[in-house]
Amino acid sequence: VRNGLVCSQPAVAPQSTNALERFASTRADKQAAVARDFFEKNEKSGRPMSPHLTIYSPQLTSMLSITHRGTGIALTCAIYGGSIYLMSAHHGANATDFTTLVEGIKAMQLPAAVPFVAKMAVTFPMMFHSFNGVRHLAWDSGKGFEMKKLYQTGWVVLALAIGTSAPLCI
Amino acid sequence: MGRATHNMLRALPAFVAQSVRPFRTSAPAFENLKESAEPKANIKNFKIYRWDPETNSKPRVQTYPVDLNKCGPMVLDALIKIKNEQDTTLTFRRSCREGICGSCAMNIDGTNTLACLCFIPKDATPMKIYPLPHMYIIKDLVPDMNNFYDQHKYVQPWLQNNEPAEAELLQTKDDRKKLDGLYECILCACCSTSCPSYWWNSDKYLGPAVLLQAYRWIADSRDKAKTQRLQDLQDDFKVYRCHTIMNCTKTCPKHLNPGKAIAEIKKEMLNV
Repeated sequence: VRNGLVCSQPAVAPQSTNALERFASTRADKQAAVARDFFEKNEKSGRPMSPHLTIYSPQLTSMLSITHRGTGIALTCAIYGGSIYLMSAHHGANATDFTTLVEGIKAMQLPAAVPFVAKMAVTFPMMFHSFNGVRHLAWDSGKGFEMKKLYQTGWVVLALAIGTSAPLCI
Repeated sequence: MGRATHNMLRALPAFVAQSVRPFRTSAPAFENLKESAEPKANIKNFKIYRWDPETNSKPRVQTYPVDLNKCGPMVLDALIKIKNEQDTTLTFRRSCREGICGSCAMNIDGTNTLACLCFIPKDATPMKIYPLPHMYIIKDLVPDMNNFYDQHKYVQPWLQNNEPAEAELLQTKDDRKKLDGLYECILCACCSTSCPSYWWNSDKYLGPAVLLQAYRWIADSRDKAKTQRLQDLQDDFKVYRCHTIMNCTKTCPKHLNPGKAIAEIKKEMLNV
């Protein structure tokens, strides 16, 4: 019985009859075991780990990559969070529609910077992630890997993202 | 030569200087020339990561001042000068001093490169020298490279061709061109240790250097084990922890492109 399902297969992973295939999986396992030994030995020895995030110089390559990840997470949270909020809150007696909400925010008379920043917080991730996504798709087809191209496309993506989000948020 | 002759020859410079002395003027003009010819000291501080395995202490950063006017142009020259003149306990790997062996790979001013190829900027800002990032440190700037070498061994970096052949295995110029930018890797590990993905997963992700070499053999027209090589890479971690961060290509001191090689591997994997 595996995973709660009754099956006629034995509990052991089926061994391939192809000798080459069997040898290959053993080689990967051997490498995994060697790696495990390396890490166990070093952890036990008390050797320090050399610094990484604290000393590595930020570069366009890594900064755009982490921004892509961050904006992806932000967009996921915004879409799920926003949807849950709109679906759950303000029903029945407290029913509010989007127009009333916006009027309420306008009535708060916040300094101009606050709604700008709040709007940018949603628009910039959307724009940046989309444009950088196109850059990623180009990479998947093998294009644009030369250092010069990486930097050119990187700056273009950043400029496009800011250029398309800032005017919409003023 | 005999010891007596050797000793006489050693005394020769002093003897010559003595006999030449009457001809040296002590005129003021000559004195001024001598002073202005002596360059002012251009001191630069080198902040170097230190750790001694024989003490229980934590790693620290030690500052060494070096007169750049009395030092060679490369960071390795400065390290050797510090070791010779200031602190013989400073430990680092080095060999060829010409950027071909890969021993002196370290993190200099935030980027991984070879110390023997890295020019020292002439300004006064301190230069920060750290070991390759996220590696277990044996001592000072010397990391434990064994995991890296085991990963290299795993991709079987040799030609595999057991087909019976009566003559040489010919290769067209176009096929040979495909290996340019792949065979020149010196396995310095600058790229792998610049990859954040390799930092977090160095036990299972092979890293850009090893994957570049894997692709070097996958792309070789004389090699007949392409399918097996690609199958060896078939799991969630060995290749697919690469998220095209591209720190690798940025940092390669030999100007190679591991990121592109990994992208080509990913394309080949679609057909396995």
